[in-house]
Amino acid sequence: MAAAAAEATTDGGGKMIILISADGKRFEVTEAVASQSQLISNMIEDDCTENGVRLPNVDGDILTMVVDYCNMHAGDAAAAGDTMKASSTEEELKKFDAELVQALENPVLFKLILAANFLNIKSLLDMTCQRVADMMSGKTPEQMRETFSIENDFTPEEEAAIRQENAWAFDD
Amino acid sequence: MAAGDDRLSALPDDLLVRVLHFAPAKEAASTSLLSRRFGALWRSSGAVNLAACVPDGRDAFVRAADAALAAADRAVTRLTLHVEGDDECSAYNSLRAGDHDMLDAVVAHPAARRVEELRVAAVHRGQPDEHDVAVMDDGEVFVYILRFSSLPSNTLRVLDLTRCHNFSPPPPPPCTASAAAAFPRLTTLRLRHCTYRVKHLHGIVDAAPELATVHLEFVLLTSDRRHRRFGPVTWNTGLRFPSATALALIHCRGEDGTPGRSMEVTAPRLRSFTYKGEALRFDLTSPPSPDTTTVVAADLHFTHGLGRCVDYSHFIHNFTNAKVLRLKANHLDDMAIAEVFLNLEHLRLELDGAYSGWSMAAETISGLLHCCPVLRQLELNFISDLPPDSCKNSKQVKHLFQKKCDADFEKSIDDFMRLTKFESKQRLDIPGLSDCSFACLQNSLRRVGLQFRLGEDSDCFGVRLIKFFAENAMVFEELHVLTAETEISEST
Repeated sequence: MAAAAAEATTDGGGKMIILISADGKRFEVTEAVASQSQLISNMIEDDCTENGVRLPNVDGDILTMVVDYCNMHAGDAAAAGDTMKASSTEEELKKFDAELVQALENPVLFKLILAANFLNIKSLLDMTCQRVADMMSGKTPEQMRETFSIENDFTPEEEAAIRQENAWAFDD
Repeated sequence: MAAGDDRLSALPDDLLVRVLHFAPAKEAASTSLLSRRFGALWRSSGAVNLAACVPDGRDAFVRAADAALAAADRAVTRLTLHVEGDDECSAYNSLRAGDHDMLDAVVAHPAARRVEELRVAAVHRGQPDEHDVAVMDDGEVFVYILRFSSLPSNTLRVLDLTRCHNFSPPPPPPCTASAAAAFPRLTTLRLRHCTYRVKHLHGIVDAAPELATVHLEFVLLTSDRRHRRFGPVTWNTGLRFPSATALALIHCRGEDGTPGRSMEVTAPRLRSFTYKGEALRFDLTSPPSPDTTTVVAADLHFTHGLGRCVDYSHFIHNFTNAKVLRLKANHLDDMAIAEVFLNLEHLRLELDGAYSGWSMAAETISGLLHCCPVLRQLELNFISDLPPDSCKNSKQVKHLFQKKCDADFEKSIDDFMRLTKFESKQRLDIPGLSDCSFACLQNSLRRVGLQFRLGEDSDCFGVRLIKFFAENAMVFEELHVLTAETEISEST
């Protein structure tokens, strides 16, 4: 059943494959869209996507975001042939990315980072890591601890030593 | 505190390091104080990203740069320097001491010898935004000097310079034709807000055999010969990018002031092209076959010129081989095409201003449909001049019609007609369109997107277009409609 669906093709000629999330949700995407993931791209090359691709460590809600992202960015490789998807300009992609990333908060953000890393989608991984870096920007260590729920396990003496060692990073 | 995968600390080391790679140097270093988990991870981030406001932050900037570069325990591959000044003079003076340039000195740091991504920008607060062209002309004031010898040229992949004029590698000695390229790994070059001599730009291009992506934004390209004399002079800015596959020219200009100016770009491997600015006499050539370009996707946004008579179609016709074409201009007739685009599958027109009458629009659209025999997707946007924040004052409604089930499709179109108060007494056909036959409507057109205003659309042209495509496109699948009403009516 899944095999039949996985072999279905769109009118655009791109072969479709099925991605299956940890909680069993199914996503039908073209090979061109899915191959933005280096992991899946390799699987396509090895011809082992026929029964759908199971992604046991990616939840459905996270995979929804990943698929949205990949659909939007399929046009990056506008030259690749699937021009039906190549409908967005550089400006629109930037806007889409900015909105996606702005809406992200932990823990979803960290889950998305793990998914992007597992699926090996470099642009999404960079974008999500950049978002965390932006959340650090302008914050003191105390504020960062609060933002990211980090427990301070240093003794006051150790802390003083670190402050002294990297004094340039702590003066204002 | 509960440990779970909802915490930053739960990410594996390599991902934390990746996050720190993008963080500002100071914040990255201060993560050493967060917990043992973070400890010295920041030293392996492979990046130093610095920003400063001068003149006040000058000394701290230099101190931080030195300390961050010295602290790295693996090669720094990413270096970002962003300096912002209160005004041009103070910024300039605080960056420069005689022949010594502060930014140049940081780039030349021994720990930065293996940098792959280098971004350097010096701006001043209140710098005019992108619509002010003047920013290119005051270039003599606040710039920095980057010396070629300061750069880790062997390892560079990405070079991104803002307000750095005429940086270029020294020309190779004449007798060593096979000498190693100065930028053997450079793939991406971005230059912003600067004045460049064409000679110097070509100096970088020629030294970078792998240069695939070139982005020039607000670059004034000057020629070496200054034969300004009385009488008309024709300026031709000739650019070549032998290995580029993606090129963007955003508000770039050649030598100023003469009516006959033109631009000629030679790029035999170009796949995607983006242009924003006044339409000028533009020629794209791809030897050895000078008549056909390899560009697959072209994105052209023509801004309003100074009333010059410009041949838009000449510009557009450089891209007759494209599969994807996006056009944006002030007038629909500026987007008219007359030659056949044999491969064009995806066409988007955006009107950057009010339309000038529907009869003209019908003519343009008719011409387009004739010229694109294999068109699969067409988007017409007549409301792109609405500012993004106008959504509050205008009511925008999305409609999606899918032709999976014929009966439903017809019905939902009819419902839409009724909703928009289209009176059946009115004529439905569009002279110049309805009475023609188009190959793409017969065989290929699957998706249409229409964005238009209701209300002032007195001829119901948008509504009539919907009707036209619904009835005439034989292999139709989807119709996306976005209507905007600029005044909120109470009747809804």
